[in-house]
Amino acid sequence: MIRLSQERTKTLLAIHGWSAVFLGLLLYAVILTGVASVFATEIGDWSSPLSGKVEDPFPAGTDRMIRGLAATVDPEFHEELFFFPRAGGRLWAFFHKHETDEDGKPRERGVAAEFDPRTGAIIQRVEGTDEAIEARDEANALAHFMVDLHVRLHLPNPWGLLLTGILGLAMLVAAVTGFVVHRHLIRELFTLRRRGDRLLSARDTHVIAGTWNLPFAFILAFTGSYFSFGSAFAIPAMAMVAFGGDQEKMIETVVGHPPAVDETAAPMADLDAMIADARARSGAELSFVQVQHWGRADALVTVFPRYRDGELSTLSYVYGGADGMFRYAKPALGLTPSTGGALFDLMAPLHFGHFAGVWSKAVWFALGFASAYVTITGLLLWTTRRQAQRGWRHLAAATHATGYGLPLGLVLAGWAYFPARAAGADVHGAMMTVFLLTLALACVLAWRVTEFATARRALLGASGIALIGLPVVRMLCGGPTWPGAFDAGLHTIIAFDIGLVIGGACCLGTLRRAPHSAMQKTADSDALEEAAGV
Amino acid sequence: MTTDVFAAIAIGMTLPPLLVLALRDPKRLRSHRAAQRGAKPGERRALALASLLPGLVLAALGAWPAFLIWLGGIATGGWLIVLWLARSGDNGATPS
Repeated sequence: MIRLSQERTKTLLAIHGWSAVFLGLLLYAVILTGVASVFATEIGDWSSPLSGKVEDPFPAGTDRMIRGLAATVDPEFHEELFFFPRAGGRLWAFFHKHETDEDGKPRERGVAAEFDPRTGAIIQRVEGTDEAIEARDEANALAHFMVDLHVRLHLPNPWGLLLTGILGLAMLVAAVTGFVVHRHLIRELFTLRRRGDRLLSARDTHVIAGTWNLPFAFILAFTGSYFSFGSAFAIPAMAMVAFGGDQEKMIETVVGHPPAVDETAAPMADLDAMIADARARSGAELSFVQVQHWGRADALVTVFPRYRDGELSTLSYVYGGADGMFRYAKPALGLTPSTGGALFDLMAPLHFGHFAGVWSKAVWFALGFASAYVTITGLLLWTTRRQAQRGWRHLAAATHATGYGLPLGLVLAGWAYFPARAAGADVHGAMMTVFLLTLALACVLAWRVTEFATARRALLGASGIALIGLPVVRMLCGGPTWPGAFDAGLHTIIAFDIGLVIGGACCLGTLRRAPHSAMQKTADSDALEEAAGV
Repeated sequence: MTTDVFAAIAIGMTLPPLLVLALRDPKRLRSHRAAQRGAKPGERRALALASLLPGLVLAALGAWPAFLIWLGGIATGGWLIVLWLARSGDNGATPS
């Protein structure tokens, strides 16, 4: 045993507490943005609709659109092409080549274009690296802001992915230790003591949410860590060991596309026919198309369908690019079905909850919300119980600022997005500035108030008002009104607006329900009460 | 579409016995100081089985997407039932 002075012990305990709370708050940020990201597609459709509903993002005429773009693109970027629908049903296509940056990291460089599938017209055309193109994207920027915060906390690769992977493992550990520590989980499945000891009530609220959400906490934490570590560490490590650092070659081998090189020029076959054939074979709508070696004899076209009703995995369909002939259907890993491939297939639907349309997403949204609730109530309990100890009041303030300031920051990022886009300003910069300013103001508020309940009420109230006002900001900045959206068949917009208003009303309703007497109590009991009624 | 319908039916069949299980949960009743008698262990087991049965049927049918939606639905539903019962108890109107 290491002998430490009392002072040194206190310092180490403070470091221990600070680091645990810091990680917990980051985990809360990842979970909360994950909740928003469940509806990333809908956020894109809601924030950047076209003038009418896109019935089919891969309509007859897709071939003409892509072929027209290919003719204007430098042939060096014909190495690979993706095209898929996003933000309002726009068809986004990216001709590119693979290269490495100054630090030796792989990246893509090429030409991207957004099409209106209803007319075939190009809406926007951009050239550059994948990162530069993403930075100039406006249509999907709001959804991308949420997703990037969730996936890597807006940190550069691979550090952001590594951090979120570690946070996923921390969530897994929290779920396991919570399961072990709270010994009467099943017996107390329905017990929430509201009367008497406030500490008990707050603890019960936290435990009840955690108990009901436990299976999904495991699932979301495990799959989240898998995705983060897989991208940041496992793929580069495997590539380093087995493929001399060539990640592209490794992916081609693992995924099952061993290249049969034939650089002879050959015109591409009709993409519309391949899309129609893949639709007929899969019995599902399509999500993504990849073309390797456009305009060459060895071109391969791979069509990825969405999940067919009642299934959690899909096959992709591979066609010869030059002759348009169907070659084979393949699972995500390798060329034939395998147990490993089946497990790999399960990761995405289990993490994203997108396997059965809006209903499965709604359930995943609710479960993600419960996870965020468990995280923040746990942190509030932990920090406010100790706030009389040295340094812990700061941690309690940080928890309140992040717990209630982060949702407000995310909503206000939406407030920044619409006017910035309408004014032709940098939407990414505007969203990030407003988001960080909101967090900073939340910190100032939490540190300056004498009672945390004041900060909580102010931030929750502001979140409620911001949520209710967001549809108004959207409309004032040129977005469709409800009658206009209804006439154009853009029902997602109306549904999303209603969801925001209900969310705002819930925030304000929570304030109304909060006991008034809490304002007069001691900071300690007051904060505990908040933990019970977040 | 089949997935949504299966999941909705299963959740609809699970929530009533789950609600009864919550309403008659002895520990919850004790904590609310309710005079009502809690369910006996045999009744609780039967109610728990009735709650889980729709999910077991979905699993047996291999309807895994519907099973996942059902599992998530009852997790959320169970949580909301507990919050609702606690709030009702707060207002002096403990459901019985």
